[in-house]
Amino acid sequence: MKNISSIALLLSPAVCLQAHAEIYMTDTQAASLLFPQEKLSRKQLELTQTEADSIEQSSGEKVRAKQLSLFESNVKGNLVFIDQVLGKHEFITYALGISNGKVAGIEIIEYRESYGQKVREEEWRKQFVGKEKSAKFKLNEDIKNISGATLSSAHVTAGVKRILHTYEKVRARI
Amino acid sequence: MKSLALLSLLLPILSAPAHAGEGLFSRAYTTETVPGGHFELEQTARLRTQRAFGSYTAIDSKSEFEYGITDALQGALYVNSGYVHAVKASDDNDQQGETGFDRNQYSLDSITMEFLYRALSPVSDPIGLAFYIEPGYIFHDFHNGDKEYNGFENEMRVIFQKNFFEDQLILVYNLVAEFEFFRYKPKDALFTGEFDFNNEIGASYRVGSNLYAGLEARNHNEFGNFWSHDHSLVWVGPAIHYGGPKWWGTLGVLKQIYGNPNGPDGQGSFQGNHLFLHSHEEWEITAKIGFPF
Repeated sequence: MKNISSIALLLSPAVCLQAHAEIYMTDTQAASLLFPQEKLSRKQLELTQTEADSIEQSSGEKVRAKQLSLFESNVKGNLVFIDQVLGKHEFITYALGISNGKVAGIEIIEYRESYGQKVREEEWRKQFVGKEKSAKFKLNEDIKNISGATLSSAHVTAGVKRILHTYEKVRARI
Repeated sequence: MKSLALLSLLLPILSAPAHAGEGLFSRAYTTETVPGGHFELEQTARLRTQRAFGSYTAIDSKSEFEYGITDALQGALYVNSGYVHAVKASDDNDQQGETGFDRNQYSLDSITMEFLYRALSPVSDPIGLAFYIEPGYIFHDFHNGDKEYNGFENEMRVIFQKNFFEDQLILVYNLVAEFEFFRYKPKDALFTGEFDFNNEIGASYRVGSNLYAGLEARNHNEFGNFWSHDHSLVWVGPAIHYGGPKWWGTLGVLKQIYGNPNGPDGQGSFQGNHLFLHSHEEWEITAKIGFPF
């Protein structure tokens, strides 16, 4: 009995782990990385219900927040959107640079999941560069899945698609 | 020593400070696996109580090491132990079970292995599909703690999962088949056996960033000698789940709402009012915690 209790105690996973929470940069730093050398100014926009409905219909993705946080560049047609999507446990915050309707780049600002830190790697992020809203944005087809983070990679992919449709809707207002 | 044993069952829950095979429910499994090259420690404690007559309380402990062999294939090793406190309680298998058996002990119940293969992902495919197999060696009957008992078991599951609303609503269905071969030493020279098949269904919704709230139902059907129907039961109840980057935890309650047979049996032994409580319990409370590495 004593031995069994001892084994059970040893097997009890009373282990404290280090946090995985990571904020990698500020939104300003992310915008500057996406459009270096350009003069960027912060803007806030709010989608109308009609615009939100239209984006949902055209992109097939849900608009979770009508408030848009973005940076406008002094170079016409260049915008950086700061967006959030649902991760496995927490929201994933990222910056999407768009130049004349095409993805210029993507930077992960905050990623706080147990697995899938590869979303930050350039090799994964560069898949989006040059894509337009008409692209498929389908995991395992035009976008590679990330090992252990299928949900995160699927949601970031869906977010990029939604933002490209949002860009088309709001660019005339900026 | 008893308190030390009890402490060993409860310690993992009390000392919680990590993903993949996250248990959203008390019983039902999702198709999720630990990613290749990663591992996870998981501890389950389940309180079972209230039988047909007498006083019966059991705490089952499952300590698990899970390893991602590939992204879609997970292997695991379990050590199952339990504490049984019974006073004149009913049971199917114990020799005193018809009139009431007494037992107060902690025991190592079984050691099992698990392999879970995810064929389809509920996130990137139209539906999630996984296959599960869990062979094990049984040291003691965990229903009654009988030490004059040993055997082999093999549990198999086909797991379906469908996600809705940006993966915020998760529906799962498990079809479970379990074969047990056992004997009561030294009386029985030969092994006898039973066949169980279960239907487990669960729905869980992400009500907050890290929080899921769900409902679960479990139907259990047991066949003695693999073909003779012994009993069928249904439990239902809620399950809440917290998932974070460092750890996850689940708390679920299941209440038996129907059992067959019920009422007095042919020998006059009470089976439970619309419930089968002779060798299964009316209530079970399950707590799980997991730490990914």
